[in-house]
Amino acid sequence: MDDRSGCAEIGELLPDVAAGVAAGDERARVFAHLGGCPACRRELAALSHVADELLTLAPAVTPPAGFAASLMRRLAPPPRRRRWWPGRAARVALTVLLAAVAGSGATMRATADDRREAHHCRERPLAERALAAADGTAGGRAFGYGGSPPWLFLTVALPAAGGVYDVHLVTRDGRSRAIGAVPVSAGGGSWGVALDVPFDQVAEVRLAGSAGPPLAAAFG
Amino acid sequence: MTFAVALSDESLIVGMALGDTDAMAAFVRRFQARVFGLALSVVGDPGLAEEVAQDAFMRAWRHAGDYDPRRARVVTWLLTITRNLAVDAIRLRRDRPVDPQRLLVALREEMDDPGYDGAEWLRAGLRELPTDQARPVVLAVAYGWTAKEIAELEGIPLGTAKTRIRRGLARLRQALGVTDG
Repeated sequence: MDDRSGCAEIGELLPDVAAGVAAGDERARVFAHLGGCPACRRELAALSHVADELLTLAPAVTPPAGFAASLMRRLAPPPRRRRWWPGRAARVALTVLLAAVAGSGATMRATADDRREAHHCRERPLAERALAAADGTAGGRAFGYGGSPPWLFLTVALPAAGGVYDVHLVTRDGRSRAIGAVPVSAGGGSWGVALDVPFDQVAEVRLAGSAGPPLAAAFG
Repeated sequence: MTFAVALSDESLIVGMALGDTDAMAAFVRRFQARVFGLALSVVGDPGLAEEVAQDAFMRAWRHAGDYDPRRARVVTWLLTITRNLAVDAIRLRRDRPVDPQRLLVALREEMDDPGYDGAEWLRAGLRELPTDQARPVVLAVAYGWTAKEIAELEGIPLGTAKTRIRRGLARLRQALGVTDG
């Protein structure tokens, strides 16, 4: 493995990614490398933290009179959430959910690096879905990003997985096509690719190959 | 429900995710000066900054359920939303000249607000950074400019712009000190 030279090349690009000025192909190369390199992941996290915190240095300025009142008049209650989480029952349910989440710290930690890694491309993911096997076993995460071009980032985390997953993209018109491959070693791997279709046209991402059981994430 | 000042930022976000307008009102009171201040620093026009700040809060209201405390502090999350909207706004109005020097001076200045929770270690690092490195970093991070655009604005070769962004951000990262970020 040429990890050392790989790190040197990727290390050059990390500030660009953190500052949000890396080109699409550079970002893809960086994220492909990050899957197998905790040191570069930590470095990107630190650089991104610096970039994010720069914004907090901006001076506070009192907005014009009536700013808050005008804003509050614009608010419409988010209807979907109200329907799903009606009133007091919602708060009780949320408390239970938060307690459950706190109790499953290992699971949350297992995906935390993946989430952070994808987050640090400094764009909001349009969608984030679990990659799961047919029996429901969690196998990783799929992140969809907008922008120009839109792109997809995948992380695989499946004990004992090793080899290659071929990635197929299923669009809303029902077509399926191969868009690349994710190398997986020692149960983990990650990979990103620019897409030539808007992300809202993506229905599903399917992974199949020698690395392990077939995995899929539905974006429908 | 009314919210006492002691409620954490994260608690307000949870309330907002549940559609509680009182939580939103408290959230706006707490952060409006920070949001408007950043928007004004980037766009330079009070009217446009007010539009950007209003849109930032509306986006925070709609997407409060997406906030992930493991990713960022609430203030960082909100200011990143604000920065993105401010960048979109100035890109739509190409006639407005960008003045990175004005923002750089503002970022380097001491805050006299006792409630301010910004990163003073970073402000110190920014003060020590040579201006020819600090300006490209600010243009990239706060204004969302590409290295090519920065090279054109600064009148320097593309490679030089990239080098200055890299060196500038790397030096600020040293101010962070630790390696586990």
